[in-house]
Amino acid sequence: MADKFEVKIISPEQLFYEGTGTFVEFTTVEGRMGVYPNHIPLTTVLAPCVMKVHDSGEVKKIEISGGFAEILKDRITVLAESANWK
Amino acid sequence: MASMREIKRRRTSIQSTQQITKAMKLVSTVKLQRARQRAENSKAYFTYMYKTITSMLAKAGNVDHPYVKGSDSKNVAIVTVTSNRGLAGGYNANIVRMVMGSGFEKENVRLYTVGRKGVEGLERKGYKIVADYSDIIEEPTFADAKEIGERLLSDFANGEIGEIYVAYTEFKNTVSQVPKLMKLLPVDAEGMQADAEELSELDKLTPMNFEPEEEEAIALLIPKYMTSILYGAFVEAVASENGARMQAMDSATNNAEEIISDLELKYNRARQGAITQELTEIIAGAEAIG
Repeated sequence: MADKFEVKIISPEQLFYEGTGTFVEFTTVEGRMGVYPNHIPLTTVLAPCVMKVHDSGEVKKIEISGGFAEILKDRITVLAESANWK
Repeated sequence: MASMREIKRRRTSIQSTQQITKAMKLVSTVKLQRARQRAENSKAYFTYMYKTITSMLAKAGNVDHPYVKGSDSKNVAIVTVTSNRGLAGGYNANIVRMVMGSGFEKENVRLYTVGRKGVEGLERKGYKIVADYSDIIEEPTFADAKEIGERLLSDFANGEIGEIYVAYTEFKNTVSQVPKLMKLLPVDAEGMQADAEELSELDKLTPMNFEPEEEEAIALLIPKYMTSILYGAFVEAVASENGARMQAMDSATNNAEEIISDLELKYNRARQGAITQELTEIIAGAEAIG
């Protein structure tokens, strides 16, 4: 399963991150959540958390202070109020 | 005809004014570049935010939430975004004029001002200013926008205001800035549906899901939407301010140049006149003796 999707993290200051990922982890207001490609379309509100983007064995960690994520079949777009590398 | 000395004095005075306007133009050119960069960097966030909120409201249908439905209060809140300094052409006056010409009753308007020039202009006209955030416009941050957004939402929730607008100047390009009055709340779901989205076929077929449920999500997302629209308006207004100032100072410098060359001509003519007169006097004197 080498499925990948587009990952975009946008903060008010800039387009923070644009790349691909095989698995994305984050915390929503409802609880922790992980998303693989081909997920059903979902818009969810994020809680402040450390977001983990898995990309072919590599894990990128990004601190996010709330926002929301739009998940579509082949991409995930995160609108974060602020984003920083961890 | 004005005396030589008078003309010379005027010319010097205009020259120093020109120096000031030239310097101001250069300063705002640099500031404009920075402000424009910022506005462009944050554009992605706002287009996305706007798109998500619109599609969400379009799908959520008739949600029974005050943010969508509106409240009973007749009062209208307007956030006016102007600059703290003048000499920016019609930049501030346009906003003041737009608020006055917006068709709202003066008694119903509650102003949340950002920018001292807007305060000065509108206070004199008899508008009521509820809160002033002029300090932030020099360097607007997301946190500033959040603070104002929270204040607006709490006043909205308390029933003090029924509608929220923001009056700011849209930055089209360096030479064109358009004053704009934008409705923030209640969200106009009808008008928003018109926006067509470019989604893939499959994504169009599957309906968007929400977590938490639509209504709860709307309650959580609207404050974020407010904040980001306000922040977007601020950064765009700063770019517009510097664009307007750059243009105003450019034409001021050109005008000064014109006046200087005109005065130069007058000065030379006066000098020539004085020499001719002196010569005639000398000759006449010499003739009288001889």
